[in-house]
Amino acid sequence: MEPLAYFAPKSLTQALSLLQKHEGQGKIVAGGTDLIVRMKKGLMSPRVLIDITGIHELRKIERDELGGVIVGATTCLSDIAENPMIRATCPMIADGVSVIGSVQVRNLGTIGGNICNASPAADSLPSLIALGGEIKIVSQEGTRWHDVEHFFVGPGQTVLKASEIVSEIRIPPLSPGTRSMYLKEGRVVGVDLAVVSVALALRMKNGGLCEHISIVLGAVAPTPIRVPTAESILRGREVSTDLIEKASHICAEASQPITDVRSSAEYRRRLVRVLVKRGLEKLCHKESDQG
Amino acid sequence: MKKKVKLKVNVNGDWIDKEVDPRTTLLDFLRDHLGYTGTKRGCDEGDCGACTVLVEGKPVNSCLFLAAKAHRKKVLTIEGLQKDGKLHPLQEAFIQHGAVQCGFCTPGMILTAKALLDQNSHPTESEVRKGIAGNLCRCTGYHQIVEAILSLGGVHE
Repeated sequence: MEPLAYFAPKSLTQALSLLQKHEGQGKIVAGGTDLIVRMKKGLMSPRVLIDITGIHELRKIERDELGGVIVGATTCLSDIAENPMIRATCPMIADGVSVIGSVQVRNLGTIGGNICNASPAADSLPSLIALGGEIKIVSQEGTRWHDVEHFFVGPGQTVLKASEIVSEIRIPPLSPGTRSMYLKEGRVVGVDLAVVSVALALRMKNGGLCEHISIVLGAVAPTPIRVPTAESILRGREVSTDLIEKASHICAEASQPITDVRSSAEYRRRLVRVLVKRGLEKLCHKESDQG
Repeated sequence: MKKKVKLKVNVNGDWIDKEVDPRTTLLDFLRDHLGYTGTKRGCDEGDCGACTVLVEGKPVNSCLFLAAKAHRKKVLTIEGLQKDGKLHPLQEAFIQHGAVQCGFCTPGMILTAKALLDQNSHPTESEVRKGIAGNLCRCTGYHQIVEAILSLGGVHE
């Protein structure tokens, strides 16, 4: 690793002024599980590390006045996976987070870090996108919100500017009757990155018509992607075996997988079809999440 | 530029004051600065779990953890597990069940198992297997390790 300076600010204001002071050289670090590996390999050589895990206000899980769940950016992944409120209100978030790395990695890694690292295969992202998650971004200029779905530009790239810090993630309240599911296939049963991941959220009207559907795919494009064309053929209709077949086919077509060490593109595309189909079939018979 | 970081850290019950280069990982700090070589360097990128130590009771990969982050925190390594010259029950269980072969994964494995049992005193076999998924063992095939951990209150399925 290259020589560097290390700062551990106690407040967001301090962190933002450090970022400004070391313009272009300051790198925000939280859990470090991605960054430290990259620094060791010489893939990244920040000169100044600003460790934001000592900022208390960024480590929290709470409800806001509208019934949404607010998760502070440096809340570690294991705290999210085990949180009773998240398990009760948006279990798919806990399901996604609980399969990131090992328990050792989840004790260090943070939700803000998993988002800002912007891996197309990140396990927290498909669920956050499917539930309409939003990201609070702060800088010395002020605060802005950005939806998770459009936060990513490409592998490792986001809309975040050098002067900005992700401070919170908000998961809006689920409408009653929403059912959700996160499906992940890796190469092995234990700790592994996703070869393909799928997040689904479905809500039926009383008559059995699909009122709301989100389909999000991970690890098969430069960023996690929603598939609106597959969603629209289900919305407003009765979810039949035939429609599920069509929707899963559209998802496979919409994916743009690459061949890499984990899988061939052909296998990934086939797996998209299988997982979307499997997930939708299961969701039709699943109990709803407690909204 | 700030060259060194002041560090006050509790390792196995003793408070230690040191100055470290900010690049120093907790693994380097424990092994090279303090001589606690029971913490093993395996892959050095957070995959194998051989470097697992407990920080504030939670297992972490010390190779991914900057020593500076341990400021004012409690760190437990394998050397701190025995009490008054007596091995910890997990260490005894590993010996009894033949859960050690080459021994390289053992310190990390035992510390991960300790944190698991501290949190869940009656884990099922699948909870044990899931709990130690971040600790690779290339010798035993895990069976004896799982049996050793289960022998301390675990539940066979």
